[in-house]
Amino acid sequence: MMPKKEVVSTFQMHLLLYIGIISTGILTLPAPLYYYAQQNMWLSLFIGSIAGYVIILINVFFYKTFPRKNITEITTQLLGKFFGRLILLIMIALLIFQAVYTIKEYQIYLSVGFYQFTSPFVIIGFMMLVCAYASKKGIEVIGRSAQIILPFMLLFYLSVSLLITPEVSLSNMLPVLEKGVMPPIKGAILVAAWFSEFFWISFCLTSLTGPPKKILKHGFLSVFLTTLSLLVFFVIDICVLGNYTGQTLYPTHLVERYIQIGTFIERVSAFFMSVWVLGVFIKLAFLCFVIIQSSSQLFHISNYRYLIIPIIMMIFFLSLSLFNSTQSLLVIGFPLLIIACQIGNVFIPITLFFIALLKVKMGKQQL
Amino acid sequence: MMNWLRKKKEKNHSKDKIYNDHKKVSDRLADSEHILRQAYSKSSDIVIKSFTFGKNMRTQALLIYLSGTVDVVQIDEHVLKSLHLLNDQENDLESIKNALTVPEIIEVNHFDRIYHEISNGHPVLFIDHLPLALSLGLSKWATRQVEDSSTETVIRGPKEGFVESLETNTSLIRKRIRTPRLKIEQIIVGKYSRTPVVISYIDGLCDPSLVEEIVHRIKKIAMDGIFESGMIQEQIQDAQWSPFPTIFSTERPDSFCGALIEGRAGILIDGSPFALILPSTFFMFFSSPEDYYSGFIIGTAIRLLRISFLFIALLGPSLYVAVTTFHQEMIPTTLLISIAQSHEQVPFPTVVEAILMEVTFEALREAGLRLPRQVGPAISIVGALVIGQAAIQASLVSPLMVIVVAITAIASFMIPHYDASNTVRLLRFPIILLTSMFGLLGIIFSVIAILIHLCSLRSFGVPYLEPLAPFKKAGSIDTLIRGPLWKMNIRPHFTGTLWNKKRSGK
Repeated sequence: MMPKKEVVSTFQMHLLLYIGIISTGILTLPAPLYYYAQQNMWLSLFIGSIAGYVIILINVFFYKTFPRKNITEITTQLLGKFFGRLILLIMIALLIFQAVYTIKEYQIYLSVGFYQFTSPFVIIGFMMLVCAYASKKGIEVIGRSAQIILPFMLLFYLSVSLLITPEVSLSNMLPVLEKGVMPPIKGAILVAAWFSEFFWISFCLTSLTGPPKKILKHGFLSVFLTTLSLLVFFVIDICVLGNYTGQTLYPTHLVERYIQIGTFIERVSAFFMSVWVLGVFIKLAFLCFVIIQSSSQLFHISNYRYLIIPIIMMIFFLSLSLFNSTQSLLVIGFPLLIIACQIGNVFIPITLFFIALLKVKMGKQQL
Repeated sequence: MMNWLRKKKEKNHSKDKIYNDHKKVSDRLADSEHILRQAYSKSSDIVIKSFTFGKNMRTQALLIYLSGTVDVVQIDEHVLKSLHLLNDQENDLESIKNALTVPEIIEVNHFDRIYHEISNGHPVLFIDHLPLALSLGLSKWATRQVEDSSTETVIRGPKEGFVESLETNTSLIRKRIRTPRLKIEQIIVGKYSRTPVVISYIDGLCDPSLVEEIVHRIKKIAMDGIFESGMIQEQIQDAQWSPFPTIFSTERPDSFCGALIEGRAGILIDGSPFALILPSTFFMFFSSPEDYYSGFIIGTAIRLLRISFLFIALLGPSLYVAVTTFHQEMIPTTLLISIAQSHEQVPFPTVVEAILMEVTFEALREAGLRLPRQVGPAISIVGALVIGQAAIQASLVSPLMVIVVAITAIASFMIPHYDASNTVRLLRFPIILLTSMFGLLGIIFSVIAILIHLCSLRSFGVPYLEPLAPFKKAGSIDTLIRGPLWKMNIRPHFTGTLWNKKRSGK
């Protein structure tokens, strides 16, 4: 029995993104978002999610017009060898930055909240080890792990949001649009950065099976579900914490500490952290796989597994050396992340999309 | 040096010559007798009986068998007596074969085949001037009666278990699946043991390429002797470096037949009561045949209980270590105080305590298994002292640790399949060590690593976690839960193109 080509279903692929986005979204997005949009941050969510739908459309377009090709091949085909590779290099560099940021997010949350005395070396090292193992096993295995993790995650988050209801006071949501529509729109830029991660699918188009219609369906569904899941937690954050949302680093973490039913269900922080780490693992494993696979295609390396150790080591040392404190991560890292996401996952793809559209319309391109 | 080695090799080779493995049977009886006497020299249990038959006692013949493996009364009745009734002219093959009132007669030409027949307990008859021998199916082996299966017990359900005899086992299967579509293919494995290995499947349900692959893998086995299906399992399974078993073994004919009807294939070997089922997936190891016999509500509840205790068996002690040494904030204050109090007298850190107790328990379990039955109770008395009141009074361990170890032990006994529970026991120790260093983080990353490993495993091309990851609607009803039987109307699909989708109803 020969090993077959690794394939994931469209459902699994979007599941990876869904888990990745809500995991980091519920923990680190509320605080900066509150700074821009205050109690209207749920509006930003809806505006920002438009980016997700747009990117799903772009994914479907690429999948349909360039069958059996990844974005790496599509870029070189559209822009020529030199410019194509240059753009790809930039895209991969931006992806690496996103990976480093996510790892720092994870490490700083754990260091601040749970492991004050454990060295970041260990916390990051563990994560990089399992990511390397997962990338070695391939996208199929990552997709399946996500399928197993999903029910546990959803069940836990659902019970957290149900158990917190006694603390909720809806009056914190008011007034709506106190300062006009601008604050939510500003906030939407941050949210769009999160939703733009759906573009990572384009790096694995060859591993996808199924008709383009199914990608559209599952894609829109997953964007919608992501919006819904984030909405639940954003609303809970505002309703429980009110004005205080903007002053803490991790509002959701604080909210979940309010949970108390009788005297036996309390202090669920450690469980929350465990489930959250599972989600972040899925996100990082997928991201590492995307980086490794697309760089192997960029440099024409026959087996992407040769690149696992160098790239994982690079991400490891970068994340050890960059952003050593919470402040630097928030003040320098966060704006950079937004810019990186907007350029790498929104601006470049849309430009590529228009170039491809132009070439298709002019009939120059043999597709 | 090399020369000497070569000589030695040649000498070994020449020793094989006296057995004439590839020689054909000649039509001279004396030649055959010479070869047989040479081959079976220094074998006290061989019986070589030359006799003559016919009216005038003119035809010479030779009967050879191993004493204790054949039915002597029947040989007398159906072979010797009937040959003596023959005329002198009737010494051709056809009339002799007609005269023998034996149901199973096989003509054999080569000596290796003859040795095989003799070892199988078939007396072999040589007739002068005939260039072949006749193997007579009159074997009578000492075999155990069909008894309750000792490793997989059920309360509701058939009690029969496989035995060591292949013929009995195949009859147990035929008794349950009464169709000629049930195929039983035989392969001989082992250079010296010559063990019959049987692959059984249902034609039209099982993917032919799967059977081909199994035959291919079994034929690749190069061993001197095979005495247990475990020895085959280890050599044909996909992930040979994984602690998880990827081939299911069972002692129960009913679960074997259930698997065949799902479209799986089974392997039985002579001399072992354990049959193999493949491809097998993770959830097979955590379901008991009784789940299917006791109604779906009860079955589902018991399965959920089993799965949740699987987590306790795997993570129980490490969770205790993590919570008491790293995450004390998770424990309610009153409980925390009592834990601290009970731990005050104990000189060891929690992790040492945990490993000490777990290892002691594993040792007790192992000792209890290997003990002769008469001394068995002694172990339980000693065990109760070691893991119990005495250990606590001596301040070796805290009472809570004893509770944790006891619950973990019960949880690991809840896993219905012995191989799988061994895996869980083994994985427990590295997780305890990791947890003692990194707290909950150690548990999380061990779980992630195990998860990735499980997701990457395959059993004969089928993903190990199949009905759940990748998700397949057809089989998912029979994994963590046990759905109603009438809902399981789609047969699971494993590999290949053959998929007899609909389970027959009407």
